[in-house]
Amino acid sequence: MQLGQVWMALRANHVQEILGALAWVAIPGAPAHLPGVLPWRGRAVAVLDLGGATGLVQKPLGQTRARTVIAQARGSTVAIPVDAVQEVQLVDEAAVRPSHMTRQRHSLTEVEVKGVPMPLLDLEEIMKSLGEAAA
Amino acid sequence: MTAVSLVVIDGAHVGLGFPSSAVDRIVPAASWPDAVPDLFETVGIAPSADRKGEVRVLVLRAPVGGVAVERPLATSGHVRVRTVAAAEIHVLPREVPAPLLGGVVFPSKNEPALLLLSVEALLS
Repeated sequence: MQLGQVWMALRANHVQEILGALAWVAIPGAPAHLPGVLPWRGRAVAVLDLGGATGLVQKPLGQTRARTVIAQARGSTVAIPVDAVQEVQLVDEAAVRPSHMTRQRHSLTEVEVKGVPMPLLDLEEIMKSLGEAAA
Repeated sequence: MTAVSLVVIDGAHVGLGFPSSAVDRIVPAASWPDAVPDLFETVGIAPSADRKGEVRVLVLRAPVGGVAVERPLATSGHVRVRTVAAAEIHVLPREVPAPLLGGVVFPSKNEPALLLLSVEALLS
């Protein structure tokens, strides 16, 4: 998935659904990187500001991005607005290597997809750190 | 389908709602009452509109610990009554804690998003 100019990979087993642009509702006083909620399958799910959480985008999350990735980790479901999503790629586990070409907060490994090295996001770690920040 | 009657105060981008039963009275004010907290500011949203609309003081009243407690809140937002289906009110996920909020109603074609306030939290 792409945020700004940066492509990042996310393990497919985290992904529940990939949707188009969805408007979300800002919640006053919400954590900085979980600034609001949107409706998904009849309930409210938290919106994850991936740009803020990874440090890629400094300005606050805008209301819409072209795609919304619904993902689960650590028992939480989050909606991640991103700019673009590619199809699922099969990558040999042996091809997941320690970060060398890429350097990204919440990513210690990277993979190469279609010849492009990209950080493999650790969504579990992101949710853990956000949970600790909120505690 | 269970319906819930709400007093809704429209803000610039979002509305705030209380159960109608918790709003004891709505009192027009000639000017902004400095001694009364701004409703939107209390919730953490920028002060309602630009305070140029008709000013009203909403007086919430509900029992807390067996004693009736009142809390006045000022607003210049448009005040109306809206009925929503109980199923439209969504509980906020635990990842987005907001002690003063009791839920959210997502926007529809004709209505902006609505944040449902927790009267219990506002009065305690």
